[in-house]
Amino acid sequence: MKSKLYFLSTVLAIFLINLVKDSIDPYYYTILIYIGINIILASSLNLINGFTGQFSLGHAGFMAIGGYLSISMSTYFAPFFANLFGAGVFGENMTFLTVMILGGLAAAAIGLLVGVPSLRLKGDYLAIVTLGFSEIIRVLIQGMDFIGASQGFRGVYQYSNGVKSLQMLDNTQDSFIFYGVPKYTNFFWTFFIAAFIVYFIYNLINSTYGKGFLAVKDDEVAAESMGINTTKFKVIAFVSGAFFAGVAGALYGHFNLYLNPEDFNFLKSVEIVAIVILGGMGSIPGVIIAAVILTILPELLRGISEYRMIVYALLLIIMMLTRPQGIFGTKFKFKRKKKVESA
Amino acid sequence: MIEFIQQFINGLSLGSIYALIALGYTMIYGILRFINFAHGDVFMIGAFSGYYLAFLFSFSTFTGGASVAMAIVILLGSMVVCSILGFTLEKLAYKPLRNSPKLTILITAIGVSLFLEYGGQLVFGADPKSFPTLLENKELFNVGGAAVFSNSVVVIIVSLVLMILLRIIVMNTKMGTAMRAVSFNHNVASLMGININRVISFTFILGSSLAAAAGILFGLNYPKVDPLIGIIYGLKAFVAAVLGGIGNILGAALGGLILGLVETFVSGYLSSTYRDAIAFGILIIILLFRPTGLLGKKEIEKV
Amino acid sequence: MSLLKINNVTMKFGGLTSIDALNAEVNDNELVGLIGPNGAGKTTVFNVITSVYKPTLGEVLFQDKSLKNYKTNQIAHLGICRTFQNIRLFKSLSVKDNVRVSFGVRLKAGFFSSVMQLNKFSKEEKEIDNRIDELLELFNLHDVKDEEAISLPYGDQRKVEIVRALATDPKLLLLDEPAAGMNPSEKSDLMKLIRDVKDKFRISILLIEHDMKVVMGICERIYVLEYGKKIAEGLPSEIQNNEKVIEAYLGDTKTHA
Repeated sequence: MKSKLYFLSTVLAIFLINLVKDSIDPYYYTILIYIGINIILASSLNLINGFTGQFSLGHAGFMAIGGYLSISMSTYFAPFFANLFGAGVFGENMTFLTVMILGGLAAAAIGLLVGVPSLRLKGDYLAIVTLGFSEIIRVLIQGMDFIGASQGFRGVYQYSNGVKSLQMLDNTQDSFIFYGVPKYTNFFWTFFIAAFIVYFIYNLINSTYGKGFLAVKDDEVAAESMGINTTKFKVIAFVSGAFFAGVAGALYGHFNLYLNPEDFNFLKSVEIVAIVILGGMGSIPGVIIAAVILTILPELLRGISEYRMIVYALLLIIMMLTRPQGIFGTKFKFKRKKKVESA
Repeated sequence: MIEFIQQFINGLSLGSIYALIALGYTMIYGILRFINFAHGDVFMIGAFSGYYLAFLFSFSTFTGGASVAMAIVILLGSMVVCSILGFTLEKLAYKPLRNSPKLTILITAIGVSLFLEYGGQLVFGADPKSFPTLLENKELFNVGGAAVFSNSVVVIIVSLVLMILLRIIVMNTKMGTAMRAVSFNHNVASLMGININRVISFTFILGSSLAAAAGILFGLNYPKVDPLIGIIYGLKAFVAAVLGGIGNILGAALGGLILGLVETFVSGYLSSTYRDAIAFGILIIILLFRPTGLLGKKEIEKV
Repeated sequence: MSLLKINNVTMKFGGLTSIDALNAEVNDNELVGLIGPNGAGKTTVFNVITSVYKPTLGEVLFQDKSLKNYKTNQIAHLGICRTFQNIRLFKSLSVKDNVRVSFGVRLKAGFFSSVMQLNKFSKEEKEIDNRIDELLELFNLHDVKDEEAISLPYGDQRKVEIVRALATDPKLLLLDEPAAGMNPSEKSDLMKLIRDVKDKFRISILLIEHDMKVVMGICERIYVLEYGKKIAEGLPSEIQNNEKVIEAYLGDTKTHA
């Protein structure tokens, strides 16, 4: 009950900040939005990797599905949505909410398709399958002209004889309307969803139902023996993780106004994994703080950007060798120590 | 028919490269039960070692003076470089984590892999480098534009020789027997007086030197190398190892050849756009229908 | 009435026959011992009953229903739950949460009501909290309920395993060497507790133990396994004087005496 109160007041605060968002310096505003998107991505991956103990290396693939599906909806069907919801602020936000949810659902559906068969696999195999799957997604998008193929997607051209992407331009026609990707993403939506996923995961893992996820992570045989359908729990974690990654993709697409298949390569997945590792697998506040750090860090390293990936690499190695539980992954031990002192 | 033979030889030659890399994945998996994510990058370092060794040894005759002896020296040299690399990586990054959860080791391996890739970009430069012509690439025959080149055949022969050598080492030497014992059961092997650490180091040396050889052979056939080639070739070789049954040496060789052939034929006869998706498609299919691979055995989890 | 029936079950691993044509049964509200030297196949019997392994031959019936097509997690829903010889507690969870996991079996709240904290969800959570407290009280674990389960001494960890299994509300409880690693007085306390649990919850218990003396006092019937074969069954008094059992145990009892 308390968590509901926290959640609602956070949402209120986000709404109020959103009112003054135009006075934020655009550079900092961009970083803020990326922080929010990374919180969503990392928290959703944390549900899979941290709380359920599965290792997915394909989060970028789900992000790509949600991102591409939502921006192609909001461009190809721009007139349709304008008709449906009206053209004003309300209409725009309704359109955005719709395409975001559709993007998330598409990612979730693919997540189900991939998850059901592959979650039988253990640890490193699952990592490779999810990685392979996200690479397939990327290669497929590279071959799809109607969403820009390998040149990326900015919007569509409406000719009198139909809607075309840049790759399919029709030189015989001379009049067209260009529908660029609309800039729907703002502070409110980004942080509302970030707050929602945190609330979602917090409630889940503190419920009796949600303890099942942690049980699956700790010991699958014991969890099965206590009546936990481990496959079902893994699939639920995987599919909800995919849903939020898809939503994050939609936020990213409607902020950047351009998507390229290379935005969703293996390294993107590794970046998300790095946030979860740094924050501590299974630590909600840790992952949020790590998302902030790892979004700002590349900006600070801007002058020496060729070192950026090396920093990531060393971060992963050193963390694993010295603090595999992550910077903040010590909650439980900490609590115990305090108890001993008071006793 | 001639085109078929040409494709077949190209496929075998590509497949041999996959097979050589896959052998390293499979041996390390067999011994330590973990996927050495950085193995593909060892292959990349192998190719670059060849590139720099070629400069070092014969920069004056660099463009034209290809000779068989020089090529062999460069091959061996780069195998030595990668052996040292593999040995060091294991000691520094993996050995301290031997009793850690698998996930910890996997993440470390990803870190090592990124480190080699982007460290490579920093040291070698990000642009693709033209690999020197170590051996003149003669046209063996050419019927109506379908040509078979000597280097493809060289790749197949060298790989075959190395695989036979590996087989002899694993089956007929004391160290090979120790490797098989360790892959069966660490504790029992160590009770029998086998020095586990030495066996693991040896496995890394063996696997890394095969990856280095694959790097040189790659350079013979494909003129450009860049610091990120390890990613895609490493992943595909891993798929080959899984296809054959991970942990199974014969399986890795078989899986590599099959993957090379399938890729070559599909991109030759059907479409090359989705070439890179084929390997992952195969991976997903094999893991769904026969997760133990073609030659792998099922393991029973003890409760 | 027979609750569990093991019908001619054989379990082979490659060339090794771990259980050989075993017949056994457990009746309602009965405490049955399954004893035998190390490696006799006792734990494998549990693994077959709970579908962790599928038997090579034969089948297990629970309330006259074949368990052939049930998965391990469904077996728990039917009303069979177990403990593990090599303690398998959930290592990142507190004692309380280890037990809480088992309430998933009867949980009404699903994914969405748990996430959205609907009212009926909160009420159910409160009930579960109370039930956990009762169970932990019974086993004297109430004071350590917020400790990390695996930080407890071995004896207490085994007790948490029993509570965790009990929390699934089983009709048949399978206990795999629950007293291992305990000293004699702890052992006899635990055995008394197990007997009380059986009567209080009106359940049946199948108890594995390799120390014969421990089970003699509390079991109503005993099966003796050696190398996967049943070599004797009957009342404790009969087993104690059985030639074959004495022979099988000779080395074992000596070293344990």
